[in-house]
Amino acid sequence: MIIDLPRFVAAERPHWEKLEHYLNKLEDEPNALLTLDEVRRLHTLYERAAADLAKITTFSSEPETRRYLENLVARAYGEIHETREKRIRLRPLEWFFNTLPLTFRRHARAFELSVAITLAGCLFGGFAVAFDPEAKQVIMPFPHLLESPGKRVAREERAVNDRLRDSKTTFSASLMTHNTQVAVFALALGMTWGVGTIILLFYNGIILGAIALDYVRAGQTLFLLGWLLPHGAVEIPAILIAGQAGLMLAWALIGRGNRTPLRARLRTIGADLVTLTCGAALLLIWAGFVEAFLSQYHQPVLPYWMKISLGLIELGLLSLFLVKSGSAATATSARQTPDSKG
Amino acid sequence: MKTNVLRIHTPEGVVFSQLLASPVVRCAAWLIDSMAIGALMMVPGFLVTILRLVSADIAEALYAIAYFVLSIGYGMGCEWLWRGQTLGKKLFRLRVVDAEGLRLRFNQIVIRNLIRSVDALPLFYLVGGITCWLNPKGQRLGDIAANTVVVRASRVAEPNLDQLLASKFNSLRLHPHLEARLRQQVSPAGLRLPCRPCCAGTISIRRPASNCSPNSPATSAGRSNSPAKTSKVSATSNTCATPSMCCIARRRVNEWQPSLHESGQAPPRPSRLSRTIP
Repeated sequence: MIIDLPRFVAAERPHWEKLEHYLNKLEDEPNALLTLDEVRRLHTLYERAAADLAKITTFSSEPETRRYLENLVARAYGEIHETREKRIRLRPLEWFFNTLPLTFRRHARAFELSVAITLAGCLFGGFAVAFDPEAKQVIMPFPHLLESPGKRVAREERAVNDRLRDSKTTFSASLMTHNTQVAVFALALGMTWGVGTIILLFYNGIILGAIALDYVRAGQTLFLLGWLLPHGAVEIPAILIAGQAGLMLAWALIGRGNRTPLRARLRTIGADLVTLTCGAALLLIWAGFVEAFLSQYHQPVLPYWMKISLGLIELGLLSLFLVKSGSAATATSARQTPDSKG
Repeated sequence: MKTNVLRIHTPEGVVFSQLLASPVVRCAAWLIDSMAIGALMMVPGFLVTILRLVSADIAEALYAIAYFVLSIGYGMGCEWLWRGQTLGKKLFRLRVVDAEGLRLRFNQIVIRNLIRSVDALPLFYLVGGITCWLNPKGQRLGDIAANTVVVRASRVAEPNLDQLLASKFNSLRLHPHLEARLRQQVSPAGLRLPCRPCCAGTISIRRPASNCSPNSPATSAGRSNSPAKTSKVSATSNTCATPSMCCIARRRVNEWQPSLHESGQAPPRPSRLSRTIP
């Protein structure tokens, strides 16, 4: 293409500068809204810069100008062709009470699958301990679970000194961070086409099933419920929700029955994955508190009925929150624009 | 196919490209970021030392939480605040961008940083590194999930018009006899003809470097390209199509182009009917 380059740049430079000004404004103030006239002007300037780039592309002797224009067009392209809603303001309460439960319900099937995998793991763990007592040595992750349930209950109920004295907060923090890491891992393993997430959920189920059966067989059901329910009522659903996110990611990767391209599928669920993982992390913070400050204290310090009641209340409230929270109007709009949440 | 360039085709028919970052540079940026996290941890470490005087339990808890938040949140926070850059990426001039050229969203930043935990498996980002190496766009698993790529964010400044072409090599100078002949054909006033967009978009000279000869392209074009015969002349610049020659050719074309318009014919389109000038 023949171009009198100095003349061309001199003629177009004011338009490029104007476009750059608009782009800087948009990038510096993400919440800024342009007027209709400004939007039209921006679009015109973008098209002009794009046309200039097309003209100059074959002009190999001036790569500097081409790079500058490419950069300008790339930035403008991102602003103009972005169709997802621009989140104006962070609304944590709206996110928690509307977005999170609605997202959870929208992908309820993935949650059901997550529950099913964990239950299968529970059954496997239970059968393993029931039919092979030596399996306990392999399955149980912590040494204190290897001892006889009866001995442990007797020891815990006789305890005079607080074994977590001066370390409850640290214990709570380590539980929070560790469990959140597990939740993040459950999501991330979705990138293995779900194999990793399934293994993680199944293994969690195995441990849970093995412990439950071990204590039930030893006649320590009340202790088990009093020990696990207060924090487990929140912690286990949180891991299941993280597993739900991992399975959603895997489903988007596999794309069975969905003809949209992989990138579009992943883009569609991106916001939902973040919502579910953040929700799971929040629940795990609460579970960490409860486990460190409450679950480790047994009768006579804390009566079992009180602990079990607390666990049941937590479970009920969480179920109610996940199933009922969020308005119908928001649900409709969220369903219409599943990828629009920032 | 593995390439080091991300090309984005816009609906307007324009293609722009961005250079993809290599795994080695990304690894170096990650090392810098790891050191930055270590340095940042000194702040809570100092606070914890003071807080330990009050309660060692709370101090330890805060330190554990601070480490967790920093290690996970460092990438998210920096990439969100600095539009796809962390400290390491800034130093190595890298940037995380949307793989389709759209605006980078917070969700994308969060996802690519969360999936880092799998990329880092089993040690030293082996999974992420191998994926990055094999992926045509150099994406690790987190990038694939978030639909992002890491590109080289070269410093792009507005071109300096005063220096434009001042230091550029002019291949015509290698052929003084050709230059002299062209000068004979064109008056100084003709060289200052305006660059008309319709002309600039449609006309050019295609001429391989090896064919540079005393047969001036301008004169050849003027001699053989009668408007009736060649209404389309493709536009391509090459080593011999220097600005001076282009202006000459454009002048020649401008001389007959009005006659095309006057005769009611459509203006020439950019085309494949290129004429190779010997």
